[in-house]
Amino acid sequence: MRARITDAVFLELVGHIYDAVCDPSRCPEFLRAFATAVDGRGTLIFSHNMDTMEGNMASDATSLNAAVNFDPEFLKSYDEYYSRLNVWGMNEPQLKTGRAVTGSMLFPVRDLPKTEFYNDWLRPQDFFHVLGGVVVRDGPWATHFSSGHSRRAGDFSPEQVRLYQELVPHLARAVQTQRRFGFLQGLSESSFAVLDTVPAAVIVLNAASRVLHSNANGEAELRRGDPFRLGPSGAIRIRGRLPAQTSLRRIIAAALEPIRGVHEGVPGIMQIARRSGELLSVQAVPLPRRDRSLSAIMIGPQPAACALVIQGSASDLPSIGPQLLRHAYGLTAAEVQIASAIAEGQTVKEYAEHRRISRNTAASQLKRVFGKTGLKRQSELVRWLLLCGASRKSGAARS
Amino acid sequence: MSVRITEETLHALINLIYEAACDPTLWPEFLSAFACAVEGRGTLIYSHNFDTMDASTGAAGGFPNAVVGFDPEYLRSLEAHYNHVNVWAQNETMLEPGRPVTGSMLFPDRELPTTEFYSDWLRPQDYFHAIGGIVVRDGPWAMKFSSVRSRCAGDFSSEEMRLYQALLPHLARAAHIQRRFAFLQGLSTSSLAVLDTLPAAVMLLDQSTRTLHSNAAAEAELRRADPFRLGPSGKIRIMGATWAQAAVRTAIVAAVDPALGVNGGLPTVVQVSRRNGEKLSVQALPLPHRRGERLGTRIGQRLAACALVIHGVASRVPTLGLQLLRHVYGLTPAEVQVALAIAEGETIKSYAERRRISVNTVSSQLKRAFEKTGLRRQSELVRWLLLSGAALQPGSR
Repeated sequence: MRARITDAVFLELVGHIYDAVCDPSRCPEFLRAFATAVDGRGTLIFSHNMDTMEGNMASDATSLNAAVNFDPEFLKSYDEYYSRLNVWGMNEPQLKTGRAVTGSMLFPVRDLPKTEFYNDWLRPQDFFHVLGGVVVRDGPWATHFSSGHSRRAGDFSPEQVRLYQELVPHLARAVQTQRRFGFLQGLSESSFAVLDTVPAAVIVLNAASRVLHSNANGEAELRRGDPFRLGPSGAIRIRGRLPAQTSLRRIIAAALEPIRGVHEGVPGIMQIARRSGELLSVQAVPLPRRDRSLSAIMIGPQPAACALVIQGSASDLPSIGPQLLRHAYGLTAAEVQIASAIAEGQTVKEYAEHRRISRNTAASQLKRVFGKTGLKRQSELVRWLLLCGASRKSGAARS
Repeated sequence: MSVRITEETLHALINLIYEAACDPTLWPEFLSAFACAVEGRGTLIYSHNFDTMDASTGAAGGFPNAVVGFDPEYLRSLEAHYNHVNVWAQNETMLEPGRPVTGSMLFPDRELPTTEFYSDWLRPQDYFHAIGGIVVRDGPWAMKFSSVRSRCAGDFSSEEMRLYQALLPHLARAAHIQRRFAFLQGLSTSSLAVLDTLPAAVMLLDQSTRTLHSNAAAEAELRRADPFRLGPSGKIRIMGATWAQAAVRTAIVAAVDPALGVNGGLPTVVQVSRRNGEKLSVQALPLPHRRGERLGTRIGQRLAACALVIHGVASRVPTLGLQLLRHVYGLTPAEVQVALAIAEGETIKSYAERRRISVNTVSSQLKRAFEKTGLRRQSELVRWLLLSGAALQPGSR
């Protein structure tokens, strides 16, 4: 009746599983191939919480969750409601991880038609028999891999159960590896997100001085193309000017090899002007290596070796300072405004003229700022405002 | 002659390949099992460069690398010299990814004994026949998988070739997984290294506010334990002040769920003091939420949910500004020192007293610093020095 499951079919399925590790969007290829092999129809990998009976069909970068041959509406209603009524799931806590079971082993087939789960969720989809099990368990959460088909198709055969059983160790390894990838990816994304809050353009380069990552300001700086731009090979170029190009190469070389840079007296910083004349300071910062062995990498992915930090004299004032003034010290809006103006380099006179208020008013506003914060001098105010937000420009990090 | 290679053997080898892909220390187990199946002896996975004829049996580009049945001395001499005279590697057109070859297909067996490669490298190890091929190629670099055996063992059979061929796609996939792992590991290491260069203390916290990572400044801050310290469960505690504890917790809650924070009017910035009265500003920074991230968090994945950024008022003036003053504007060391003192919050008078010089001397030093830089006021100097390099400082650990 059914085609014998050949060795080639098994190996192809194994291949599909590991293809999905590097690219979870390929998981449906595995599910479809498995469905074909076992005459299943709806086939899915999902997470299930055994304590709360919550289901989670959502796929993301840290799981292999996916479904084929299911109506999304039914997946949604499962998440929202029917996962709690899943009669097969009731016996799950006793299920051994990695063991293949059929629905009939978990709940009497003759009782199934009496259940709400069957009548309102399975039957409308023409599902009756199921082959499945727990692939990986992590606290109350279990990763399930299941395939179902109609009553007419009959229960899953021992051969099909065996195929499932043989695939589960591979699937478990794939799920765990995928999680590790997701964790590392999350860690990189998080730390790069913190970099986005630095009020300077930060461009991370590898040892071949190719751009590995730019923070939000770095991207904006490169888009601006004045004077920095990205060369075709991913290296930083400076428009037009050859001497500047050479200086940039020198400070990068010094950052890549800090000891040589120091010995040869390379300062590690340079200045360069935009077309408008605005001066930018450029610093190449050597990156500490937590893991020395990474420096041995010759081909393929290269670790970051230095960071290029570009700052203009017109850098924005970080906004955490003003926020702090309001929340922690109870400054009024006008008082915050004059404090920010001073920190941005205006004098009291300039501020008063700019705001069309008298100098006396401005001076007494500033005096109240000093009174409330306990600061004594303008330079102290500037210092405090800049430092308490030096690495933070508010605004949502890119998502 | 050779034992028939069974389906079980193939399955076991494939399983070993994927085990090794997820844990590279297991590659020798696969190689030993393969050597056993094909009656090879020296078996290895290494990287070969077709442009330079360099060989690498060390970690190269995240490609798997492992060796069984070779004396380390011979591997060293292979890398140092003999791979460059490897007659089997010179026939590049025959070596395409996914295609198994034997030594005799690449170079005539009867001429092999006349080569330096055989006489000085293969023969002393009692090797003559080889089976091998390219698993994956990346530019000039190729991941090679080979097994060699003695002349008396005879050439590799077609059945052994078939086994080799069946393993190749799985090896390629394993190499892909391992390189992806190396890439992600490199990327996260790099990104954490960049965090170390920030002057602020940065701690990445997970959804349950446990610390996932602290940058260099944060590690120092936690060692200081005034007022922040790490609780036994990895959560951030604040010594003494319970209101500060509550305020920081509120800020973290607001950061982990930004919508709640904004709607609930929760501030994401709070201020706490050290014992000596120094004020610290603490900000809980929401981190980008990837789609479905919460699932990862719930099933025990520890993903970063927010970053705690701590600034001290007494933070050091970044070195970039000082370097600029010296190298770009040509200030003398004394002028740089006055400028630095002002930026760090001293007045002319207190600086003069501390340095035991007259106020007039300090004033004129500062005046020259203003002239050379084009700055006009003390507050401008403070602003300029703090902004020029406030972001990063050279890190060294």
